[in-house]
Amino acid sequence: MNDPDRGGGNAPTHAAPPAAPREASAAAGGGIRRTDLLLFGFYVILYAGFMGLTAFAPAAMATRVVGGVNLAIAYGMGLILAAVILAGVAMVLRHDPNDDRGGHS
Amino acid sequence: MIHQTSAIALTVFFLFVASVLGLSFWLGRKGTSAGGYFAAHGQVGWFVNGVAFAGDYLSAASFLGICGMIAFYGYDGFLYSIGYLAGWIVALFVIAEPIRRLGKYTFADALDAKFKSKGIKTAAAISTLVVSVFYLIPQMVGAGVLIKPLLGLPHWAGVLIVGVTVTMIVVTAGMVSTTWVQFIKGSLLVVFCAVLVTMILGRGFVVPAGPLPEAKTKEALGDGTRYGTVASLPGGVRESGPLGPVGYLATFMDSEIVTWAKRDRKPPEVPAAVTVYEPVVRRGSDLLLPGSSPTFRGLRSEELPKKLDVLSLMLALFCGTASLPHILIRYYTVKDASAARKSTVVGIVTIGFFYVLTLYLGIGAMTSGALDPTDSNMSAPLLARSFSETLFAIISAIAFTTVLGTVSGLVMAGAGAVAHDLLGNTLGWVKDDVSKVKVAKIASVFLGAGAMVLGVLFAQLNVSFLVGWAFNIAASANLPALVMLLFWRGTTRDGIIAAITVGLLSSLGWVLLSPDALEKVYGFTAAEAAAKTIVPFSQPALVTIPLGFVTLILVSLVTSKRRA
Repeated sequence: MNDPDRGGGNAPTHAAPPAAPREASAAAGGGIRRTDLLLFGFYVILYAGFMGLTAFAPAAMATRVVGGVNLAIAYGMGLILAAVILAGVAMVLRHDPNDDRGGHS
Repeated sequence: MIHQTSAIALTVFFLFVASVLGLSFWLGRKGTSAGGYFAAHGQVGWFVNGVAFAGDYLSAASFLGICGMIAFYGYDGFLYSIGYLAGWIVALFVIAEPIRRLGKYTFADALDAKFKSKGIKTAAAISTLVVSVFYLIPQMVGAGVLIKPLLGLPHWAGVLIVGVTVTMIVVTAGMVSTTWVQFIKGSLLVVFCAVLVTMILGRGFVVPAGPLPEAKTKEALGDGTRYGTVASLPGGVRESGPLGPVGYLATFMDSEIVTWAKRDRKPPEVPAAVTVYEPVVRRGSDLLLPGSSPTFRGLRSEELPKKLDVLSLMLALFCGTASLPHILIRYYTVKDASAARKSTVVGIVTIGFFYVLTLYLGIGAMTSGALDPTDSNMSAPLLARSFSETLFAIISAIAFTTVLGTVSGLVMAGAGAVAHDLLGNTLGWVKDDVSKVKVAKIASVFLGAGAMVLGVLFAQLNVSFLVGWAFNIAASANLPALVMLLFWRGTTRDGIIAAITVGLLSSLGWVLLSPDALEKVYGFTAAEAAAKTIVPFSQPALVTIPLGFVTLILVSLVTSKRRA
């Protein structure tokens, strides 16, 4: 059943922590959690929306939206900020109280 | 031409290079085992690793290329910033933890963890080498570009200095010294760019006195004229005074800016056309919209293939980051999957902050009066010179260490692919760890020498343009195999080999036959390139990434049935 060429089981090196079960289907390496998938999907939509507007509705990008700045700048800055915020959310969601503070092992 | 070599720049530059080399020799004591050489013993702290990610990733294309593109064309350079950062979301949520769990030293280790297949190792190692070479060329070209104004030396001298320095860094202590060089470079780059942006906001905008300058030939550019200035400010004032981050952008949008365009003119009195640089007054609001530059002009076109070309590039940037071998090997320098994720978070915050700064650096350079209309790559260092000679010296030296940090990572990735994957695991010629380190060091010397040759051969090519190709190839060759291995149980060994091979060959073939390559590499005119090309647009990712996924699924389905 664990035919190595069919990916029937987890990789030998895989050691998923019991406190954080996998929620989505996985093959090797521990898979992806549903919350991660949702956050990733949210960002993909944001990015696709930006590219869609840029390519197919350029006039909308010229609209002044906040503080005299146009949508192109606001959306672009928003994408960078969103990545940083999602990174922070990811850090909080995976916080492990047993982890060391400095990061050195 | 309009640059002058400065003694302080020379001093700071050699101080930086000497410090980096001294650090490498000192750290060299720790990198003697294979685990130490290839992965810094897996003991790098997640914070240091996160900043080192920034040092690894923020290459000459990010610093010199993006700032220069914004300074010359406005918003389009910022599109690169957005795409480069967005790719880290793929790394954070999809790749970081699994790749750390599965691998040991190289990206091929992770792909092959389940199947123990020589075919996968070979395909992944070749893909690593191809992507690394494509990424190396623009870094070396960037080094040559920098050395001219900084030290007054020819292009090849810059390439030689980087090549020799990087080879010494990698040979002495491998990933240990590479990590610290990248950490120091990442920290310095972000801190000094933040200082520079603070000074830009403090200076605000100034309208210089005097009439609009006239068009000039290249030889006449060094006549003391200020290039890149503000023609008018909102309300008719001559100076804006200090501005906040939002107010700075809003004021720029309501101003008129003197940009410089390169044109070929044929006056009646001369037999051949001459290249001139002429001032063009543009509204700030137009400059802060996408589609001004040659790379992104397709966004303003009505032709679908031209729009698809840009969308394909943005897809490559999004998918390519988490597929770059020199980025992936940094996941093996931390102790576990949790640290891999945390270091990605630190990397995103650091890199994201830097990319926000690029917009201000670019606009600051565009309006600094210190542009070189012939060379966009020099915009950031020349912006620093508009404030002080000392700042110019520091920023130039940091730009040079930017190249050192990224090239070190690329040479490490290539050396690992040769010594560990190809000669070690695939051919079995290098069996023990001590030999692997020796072979990797020899491979580093050859890779460093090859990088120098390529840096001289491709001196005329645009830096950002070549990096875009590296992202396309990395995303097409590596991402389908990585993602499907991690998330689809039906993935087979043959599926992975086929996906890497098809993704690599199709994307490589596409870029080499693209209109851009025909024009910029093979020297055809734009019209000839359009007539001769056999692909509809230059950036392949939109076609070749899905092709990699489809190939993997089909081959996996066929081979799993055959085995059953």
